[in-house]
Amino acid sequence: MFIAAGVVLLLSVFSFYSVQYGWGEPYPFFHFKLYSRPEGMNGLANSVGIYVNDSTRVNSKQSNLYDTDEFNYALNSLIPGAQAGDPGAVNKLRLLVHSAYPGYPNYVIIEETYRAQAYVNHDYSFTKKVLLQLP
Amino acid sequence: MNVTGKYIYDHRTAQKMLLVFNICWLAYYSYQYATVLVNRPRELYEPLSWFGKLFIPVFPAPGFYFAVTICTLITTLAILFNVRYRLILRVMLVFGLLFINSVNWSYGYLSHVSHMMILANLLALFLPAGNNENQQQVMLSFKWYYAGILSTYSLSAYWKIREIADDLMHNNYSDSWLNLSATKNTVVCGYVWMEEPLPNVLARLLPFERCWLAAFIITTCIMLLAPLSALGQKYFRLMLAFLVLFHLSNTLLFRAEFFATPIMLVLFLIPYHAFIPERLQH
Repeated sequence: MFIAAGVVLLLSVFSFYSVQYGWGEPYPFFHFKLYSRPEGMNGLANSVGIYVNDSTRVNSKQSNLYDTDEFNYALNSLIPGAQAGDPGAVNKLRLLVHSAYPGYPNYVIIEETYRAQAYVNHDYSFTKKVLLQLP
Repeated sequence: MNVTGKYIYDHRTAQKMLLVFNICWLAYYSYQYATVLVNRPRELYEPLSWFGKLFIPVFPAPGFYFAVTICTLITTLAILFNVRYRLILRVMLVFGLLFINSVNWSYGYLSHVSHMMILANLLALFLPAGNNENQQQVMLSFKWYYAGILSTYSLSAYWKIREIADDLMHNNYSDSWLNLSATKNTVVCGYVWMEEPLPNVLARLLPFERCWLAAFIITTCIMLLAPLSALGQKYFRLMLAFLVLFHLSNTLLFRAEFFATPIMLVLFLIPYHAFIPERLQH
């Protein structure tokens, strides 16, 4: 009868310890850390832009293979490795960007920083910082 | 039919609706696979969960993927039409759903999308099959079933409370949810992430910082207590309605889009006995 809720409880307790001991997470619902902390508490909000020749933003329009959410997550998971010079990550990043937005001569990955208060007031100005140049 | 009988009828119909919804879900992800996933570079596929690493270490070929999808479809239909060996069928169904979900979330991040739906199908293993059992016992199984599903919300609230406690202990108030600008900053981050301008309604409402803080605290407390609501039918329906609203407002506020979960909650919420004529209810 109460097995259903009991299973959740048992798996949660197991997940709590298995993550601590580095065995991974068998039960994905326990560490349900969606918005467990607020974001952008330094008053800044970041997005990653793919640019051509430093000027034209490529990923403002919808890609056929990824929606904005999927593309941004995939991009952000690869950038740290690529910046550290891991050839596997660089190759994957190249494949990702080329498959999402094909047909451009070069791709520059740029971090755009918005100010939260300005964004609320419909002031969409941002500062640019070049993260990576992709062949 | 007495009151308990009516509730049991509602919950059993909701289970059937959940299976019908599984079929729609399978159709959507088959379309997603055929039009999107097969066209992505195979090298980008990298399973992130233990399930994916164990069963789908490389990108599944169309034949394999659709074989699993068709098996899952047949399993769903078999459960829907009360074929024997229900327990084995249920395990196969969960396996199939996990398989399809794993393939979709093997591109750099493990999303929480569809998790609740898989959990609802997993916990349905423990629901009694026939109508022969004692009514009170059947009712009690459903209560625990829903308590199990809703406990995901209390875990989500638990982590928020834990982080807040952590911040307060380290005197890190400015970074926590209790800071008055927390909602505003998080909302802006969501919209910048999705590369959309802020809607005018939100731009007008966001300056009421104390209201947002109060809303956050109330929501977190309600979510922490969510499983308890499963014990009483009236509170359970209120809670489901609240959670549907919660998901819809999250879509607007943080651009956190969940479609399967609110649809499923609505399926659990509908009082089917009131719509379906009594002569069809057996």
